[in-house]
Amino acid sequence: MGFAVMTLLLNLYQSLGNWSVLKLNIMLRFAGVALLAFVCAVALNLVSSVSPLADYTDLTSYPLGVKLLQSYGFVALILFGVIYHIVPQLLDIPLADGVIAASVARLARLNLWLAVGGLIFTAGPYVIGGIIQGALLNNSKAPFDSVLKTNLMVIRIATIGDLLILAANLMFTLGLGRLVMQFYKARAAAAFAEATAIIPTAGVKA
Amino acid sequence: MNQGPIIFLAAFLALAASWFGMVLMPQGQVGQLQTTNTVGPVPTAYPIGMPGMARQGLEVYRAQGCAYCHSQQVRQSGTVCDVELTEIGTNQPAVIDALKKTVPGFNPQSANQLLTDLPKRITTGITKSEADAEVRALRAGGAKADVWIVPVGPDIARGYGKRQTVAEDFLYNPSVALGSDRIGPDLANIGGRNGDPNWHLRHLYAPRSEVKGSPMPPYRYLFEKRRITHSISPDALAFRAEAGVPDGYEIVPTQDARALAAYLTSLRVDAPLYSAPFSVPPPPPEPSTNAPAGGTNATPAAAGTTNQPAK
Repeated sequence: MGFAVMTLLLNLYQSLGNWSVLKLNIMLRFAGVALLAFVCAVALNLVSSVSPLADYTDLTSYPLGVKLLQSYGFVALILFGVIYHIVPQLLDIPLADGVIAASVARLARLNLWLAVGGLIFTAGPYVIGGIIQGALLNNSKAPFDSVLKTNLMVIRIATIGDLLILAANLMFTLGLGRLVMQFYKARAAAAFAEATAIIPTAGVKA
Repeated sequence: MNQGPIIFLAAFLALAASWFGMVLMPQGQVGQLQTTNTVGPVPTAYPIGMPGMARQGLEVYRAQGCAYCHSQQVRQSGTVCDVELTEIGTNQPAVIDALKKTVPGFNPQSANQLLTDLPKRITTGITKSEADAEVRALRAGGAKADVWIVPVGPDIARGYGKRQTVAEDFLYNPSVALGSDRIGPDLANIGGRNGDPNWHLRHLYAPRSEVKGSPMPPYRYLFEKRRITHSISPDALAFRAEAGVPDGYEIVPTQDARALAAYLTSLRVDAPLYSAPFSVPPPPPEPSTNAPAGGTNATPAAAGTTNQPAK
C-alpha cells in the first residue's frame, strides 16, 4: 500500500523535477493542490481496500470524503487552473505574467484558497468522521444513537466546507464573467472606435 | 521512437482486466442464480417475487432517495456454534460425565439445574469441530443434542438481520438499493423487525413521534391532510400528540406512502440459505387431528376426540 503511494509520488517528482515548481504561479498552485488531493485520495482508497480496514470505512461517510477529494480536489481544481490559463487566450486578453489575465489574478487566488478551505472542511470531516462512525458501527455495544450523533456532527462541519466550496465556485464564476465582460467590452470599444472614426475627406469633392 | 502500440496495449490490458474483474467474474459468480430452497427444517422456495404493492414501493424508495441514508446489507463477521441439549435420556451419570469432559468449566454440582427445563443451550460460541465433538459425546451417553449454527457480527448483534445479506436476496428485485452510508439504521430486515405498516406510515409522516430524536426528514407530502367533515376516514392514521396533527384534521396516506410501507414490511433477511446458513427451531408439531385448535362447535363431550363418526 505504502509502496504504491511512494511510486506515485516518485513518478510525479520525476515529472516535475522539483516540488517548488508548483509554487511558480497560480495555475501551477491549482495543479499542486490537485495533485496533493489526488495522492491523498489514492492513499485513502488503498486503506479502504484492505479487507479488515474496510469494515471500518464501508457504509460510512469515508467514501464520500474520498470521492470529494477525487472529483473536486483533483478534477475540478486542475480544470480551474487550466481554464484560468486558456480562456484569456481564447478571448484575446493579454496574460499579465504569461499565465493569467491581470483582471482575474486576485479572484483566482481567492478561488484557490476558498477551494482548499472547502476541501479541508468537507473531505476532512467525512474521512475522520467516517472512521469514527465505522468504529462505532463495529461495536455492537455502542447504541446507534452514538453513530447518529457522530454523523450529525460530521454533516454540520461539512456544511461549513460546502459553503466555502460554494464561495470558491462563485469566485470562479465571477472570474469567468469578468473575462467575458472584458472581451465584449474590448469588442464593443473596437466597434465604437470603428463607428466613430473620422473618415478622411481630403480629395473628396462636394 | 513510436510507442503508440505499447501504450495501446497497456491501456487495452488495463481495461480488459477491469472488465474481467468487474463484469465477467461477478457474472460468473451470481449471473446464474435461481430460486432455491431454504436449508431450514421445512425447506421453502427462496426468494419469492415481491408482491405488486411492494414492487411499487421499491420505486418510491428509489425516488425518495432513501438509499442515501439507509443501507440494505447485513454484514457478518463469522459463524459460531452452540450445542443444544434436547433430551437427557435415561443414563444421566453418563451425560454428566460427557459434559465434564467436553464443557470447559462444567460444575457437576449444578448439573441438576443445568439439566432441567430442556431444551437448553449448554455451550455457546464454540467452533464447529468442538460442537460436533460435544454432541458426539452427549449422544454416546444417551442424550439428544444438536449443533446450532449462529451467525455473529456487529450487524447481527444489533438485530439488523439473522444472517448476512447474499446475492440471492435481491434475485427478483428490478433494482437494488444497497446504499453506501448508514446515517439511519440498516433496512435489510426491517420487515422482520417491525412488520406493522401503520407504524412505518406514522414514522414516514412524523419520524420523531415514533423514534425520539430521529434526524429523518418527515415525508409529509406522501400524505393527504384532510379536514374532518362528517366522520373520520377508515384510512386515516392514528397519531400520537407529538406528531402535531391539528385538531379537526386527519392524515390519510397516498398510494405512494402505502406502497413504500408495503415495500419496507416486505424486506426480510431471515431465511437460512446454503450460502448463509443458520439454525432455526423446528416448527411446532402438527395437531394429531384435523379439528380446529381451541374451541370447536362440537359438544364438550365430543371435543378432544378425533374426526371419527360419533357413535
